[in-house]
Amino acid sequence: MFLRLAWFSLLSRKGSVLLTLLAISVSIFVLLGIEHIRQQAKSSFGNTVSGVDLIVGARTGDINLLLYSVFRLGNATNNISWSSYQNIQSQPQVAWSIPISLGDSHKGFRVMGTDRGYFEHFRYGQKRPLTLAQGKPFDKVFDVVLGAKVAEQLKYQLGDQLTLSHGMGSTSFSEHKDKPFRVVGILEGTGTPVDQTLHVSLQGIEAVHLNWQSGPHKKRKKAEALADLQQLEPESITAFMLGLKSKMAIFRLQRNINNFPKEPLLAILPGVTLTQLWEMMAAVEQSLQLVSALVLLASLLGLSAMLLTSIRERQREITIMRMLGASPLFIFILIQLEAMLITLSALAIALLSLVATTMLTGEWLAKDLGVHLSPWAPNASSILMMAAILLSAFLVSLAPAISAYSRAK
Amino acid sequence: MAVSIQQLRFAYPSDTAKTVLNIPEWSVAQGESVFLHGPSGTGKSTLLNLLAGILQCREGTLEVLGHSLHTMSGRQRDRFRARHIGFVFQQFNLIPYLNVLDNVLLASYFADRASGREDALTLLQELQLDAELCRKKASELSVGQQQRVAIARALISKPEMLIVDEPTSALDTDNRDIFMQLLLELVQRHQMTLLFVSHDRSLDRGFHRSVSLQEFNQAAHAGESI
Repeated sequence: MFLRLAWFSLLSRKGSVLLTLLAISVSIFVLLGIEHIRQQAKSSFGNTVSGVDLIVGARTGDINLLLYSVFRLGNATNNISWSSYQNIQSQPQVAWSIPISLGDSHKGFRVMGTDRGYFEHFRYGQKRPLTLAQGKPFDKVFDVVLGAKVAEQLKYQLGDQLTLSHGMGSTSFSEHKDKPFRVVGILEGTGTPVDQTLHVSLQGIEAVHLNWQSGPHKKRKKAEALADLQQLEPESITAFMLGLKSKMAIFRLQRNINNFPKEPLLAILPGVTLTQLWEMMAAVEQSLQLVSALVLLASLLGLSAMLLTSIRERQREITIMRMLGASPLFIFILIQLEAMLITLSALAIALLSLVATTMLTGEWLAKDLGVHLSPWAPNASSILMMAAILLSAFLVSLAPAISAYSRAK
Repeated sequence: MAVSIQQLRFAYPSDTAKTVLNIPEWSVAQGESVFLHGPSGTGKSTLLNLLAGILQCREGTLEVLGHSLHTMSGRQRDRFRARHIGFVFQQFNLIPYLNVLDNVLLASYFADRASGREDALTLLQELQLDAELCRKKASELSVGQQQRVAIARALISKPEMLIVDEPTSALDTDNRDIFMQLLLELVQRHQMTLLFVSHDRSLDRGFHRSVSLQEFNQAAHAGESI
């Protein structure tokens, strides 16, 4: 009877109830939506690299090194000499290493020179290795392995030929047109910057730069080099990743690298720097949460105001119920029940639209923005949030409920 | 005794200086139908609210149907009212957004009685309200129909006493006569005590007793003399 009474009472005030319902739905949608995106961003962010113990580059800021080596954002201030790399790589604590050479691009996608150790040792997400959707890792100097996004967006197939450009930008004037690369492999999608990267061998990077920039007088060297490109040895690389035999050695090796006598180097722990980077964004994230919480509060206050106004019109109704034997507590609960019905319906509407929106736009977001947004599903924090929403609805509805209670007294 | 009042004094908490009711003694016998009249402002509604247990009596004794209302808590009085007293007001007796049947069933819900839909429909039929009408919203009914639904609702939980407050003031003469006839018939059939309040003394035919509140409320006299 309680529910029936509350239900028909709300139905009799369709207009204002519906508007309040919509306002609350929208604000819950925003609140939970932002929370969902935040969590997704955070996890995909933390998933970009794993299983790498140290990242080493020329001395710069921690975050800068992380940005260009892992996220392919920004540029290195300086390179590392090949001899330093070899020196550190041969340290007894080092289990494996991945050299990284950046600086070229192809139609806006970054090109990364590395060696085959990359396909073997690089991990992302929950220690997941890279897998090839098609083909095989690069073998020859002019072989290229594409990230999933690159292949998809530029519609490349195995065996296609492409040329690299110097620097970034899709319409670079300085293209290495004389040295076309052949697609030999396409990686499975990872949801990380790997998808937007073209991978070539270090020798490939060296080869395209042989006669470039320096003009004709280097032609002789080019001719020599082309004779045996496989033997090309880079003079320098941008950065490298290290995996150690024992985690115990990480801090000692980091200190040694930071005090490397031959050139100024910087070694970072990717996990630690990822956290630092995320904390830099915490202010934005928190202000977004604050704004959405305030929007919700505003809509709940609207609910309270709507109910409070209705109480005045319902004096007669309250008297009738009192005469029939309803206690003041009954009236109080009735008003709270109406508030809960509205809030629960709003919650249901918000959740349904959230699931629908994330399902429908997920593909589009992944395709056009490279953002992976999985469909909304409840988790501990969102359930806690929903409980908080219901509690807030209860608290703001105390005003009309108490008003009705005191009128019934 | 259906009602037994002794040394009752009542003033509203908001205005304690003004005694609204001062009744040394008054009683109504079980099964009696009493027509209570008197000009407005003499405390009729206050007396009814006391008898129904909406207002609490703080001075004197007030027994209704053998229950000492002056010693009962608010919650107890609410339950007492739901189970033993039927109420019909002047106008707007019904919850406008519920249909007729739900309005009637609401009373049996509060009374915690097992009266179901069938009982309610039978009762409504006795009051010349057909099944089709019962599905209508209360706000779609004419005033005459609404007042008859109000009687059905007052009777559904089989109360021992019916309190009726100016029920005909919004009705035209024809509807008023139908209403009075139905009411008195039903009260007699169910052997209830009836307390009927009106300022229109032409209605007092068929009652066991007709009494003016001023006859036994001394506060009203005091008020008038000032």
